[in-house]
Amino acid sequence: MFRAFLATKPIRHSRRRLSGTRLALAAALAAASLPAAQAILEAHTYGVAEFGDTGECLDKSDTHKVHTKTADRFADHFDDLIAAGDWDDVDRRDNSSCRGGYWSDPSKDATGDDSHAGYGADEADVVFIHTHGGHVANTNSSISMGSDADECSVETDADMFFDDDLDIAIIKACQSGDYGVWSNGGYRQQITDSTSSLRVWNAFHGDSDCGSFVKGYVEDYAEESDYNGVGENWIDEAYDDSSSANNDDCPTSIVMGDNAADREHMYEYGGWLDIEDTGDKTGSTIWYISGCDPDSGTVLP
Amino acid sequence: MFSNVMLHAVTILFFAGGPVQPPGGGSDVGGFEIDASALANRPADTLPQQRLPASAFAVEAIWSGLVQSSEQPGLVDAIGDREYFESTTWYLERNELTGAVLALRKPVPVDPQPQDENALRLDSLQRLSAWGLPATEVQRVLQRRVLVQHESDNLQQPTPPIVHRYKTFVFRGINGVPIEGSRAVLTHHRDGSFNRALINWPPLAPTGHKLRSDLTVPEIVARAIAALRRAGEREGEATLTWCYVPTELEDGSIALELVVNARMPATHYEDGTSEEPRVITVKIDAY
Repeated sequence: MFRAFLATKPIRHSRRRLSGTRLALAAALAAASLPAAQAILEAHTYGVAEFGDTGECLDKSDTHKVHTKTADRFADHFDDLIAAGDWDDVDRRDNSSCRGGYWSDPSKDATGDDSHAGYGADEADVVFIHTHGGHVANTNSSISMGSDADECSVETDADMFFDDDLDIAIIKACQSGDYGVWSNGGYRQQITDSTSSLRVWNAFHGDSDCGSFVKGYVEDYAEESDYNGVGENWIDEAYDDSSSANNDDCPTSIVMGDNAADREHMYEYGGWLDIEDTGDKTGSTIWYISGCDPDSGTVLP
Repeated sequence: MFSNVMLHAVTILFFAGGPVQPPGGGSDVGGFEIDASALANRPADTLPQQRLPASAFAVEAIWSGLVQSSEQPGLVDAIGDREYFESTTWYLERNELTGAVLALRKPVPVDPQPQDENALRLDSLQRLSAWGLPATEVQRVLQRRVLVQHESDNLQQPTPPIVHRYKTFVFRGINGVPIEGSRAVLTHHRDGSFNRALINWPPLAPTGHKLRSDLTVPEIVARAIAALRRAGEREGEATLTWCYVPTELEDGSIALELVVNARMPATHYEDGTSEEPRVITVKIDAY
């Protein structure tokens, strides 16, 4: 709560929650000269539902039509925030509009264009993606794209690097927040440097179930994370236990910053409208449900 | 005991005793293997009389029953239908229309102590009961630990996992059937103190529910096959279970509709990729 005003870039807080002192400070920060793209609050959502046809990736059998609907539910909340005057822009970039280049940094990949206005993941403050994903044990995670124009699979180590505007990433894709990858130096060390603004990576250890029910918890999660619990709400909403072994849904929340206290505060008390300053990205913290047992992932400690 | 149904040139199996192999032990090429055993018992077609009342989302009810604090919360913000309150030591958010509550205590230092997790579970259930949530709406309860670990440039390896919070996951259901999307998650700190509640539990409309279907099990299986095909599935195993999905009535209140969920397990391909478990909603002409 309210730590946004210490952030390294202007974060516009809901005007109705500010005391006079904080309002003055926020106004001063907002007046600071920064690139226009960073001066407004933007969300990008990516629903990758169609696979296997010409120009698409993977196989036809991988088509999951609900992926665009979940992304739309997430975006709907940002429409509400825009209507309330608390947010500036939300762009829905589904299927073929979700290209590998938009998730790749030019420093790592020749097709990298992740700061592309209105499309690139690193051009938004908040991104949500629902797609397929995978991981290589203790090495990296990858997520599937909606067009084969660039790379069909974008990897955390080989392609992603967020050094522009991205603060919070919500990844509804299997194996996108793998415990083994985190334990062996993945994510923070792969996708940020100390000056990056990216601080929250909410994802899944192992596979996560897909279906129309995901629309509901994604919508709820978006609505309840304006000011509080951007990390913890993800754990509460996305966890589920399976009646059969090895099929749990195991959400993970990874917060990056220079000290554990600030990272924890962001996890518990941060949100879309309260993107707290967690300092240089020299460390990270992971939260998960003990004993969670997913398919395509180890049993969590 | 099982029977076979030929439909659209696809072999469909449904059975009351769990998965079985197709006759002759051969594979069911090009078709679906459907386990409909959970549909053998139809749920009651009425709602329990005792249900969470809409009045539970009054701030006073949340404060006295769930948070159990003597502080006075004040309204500090509103975005759409969601309202934000604050007291000396708590934040509270609620949306009366959608049945949503997020209550969380402001940061406070604690002295971690080993906890009796069953006692924490009982405390969570007591708070929900005091708030107005009857046991007739509770489908299952899970007590879990959230662990936390840190890594940094200054550490050679991540810190060992420790408990961050204790969570009680309460999933909603009536008549033995889960209600999609409703859950309450109550959280205790490492000293056992109540720390947080996240609830999505919309109060149910007095009328307008669709809790029964006249379709037979074979007809439901046929519906399931059609729904799976529309979803792009071509073959594989699927398990059918009853489920209630919330639907919004014209006046904005929430009613339940009985459906069947067709759950397909993860598929692992030879190239090392996999497809996650999928749940397809099957409409069954409920009324």
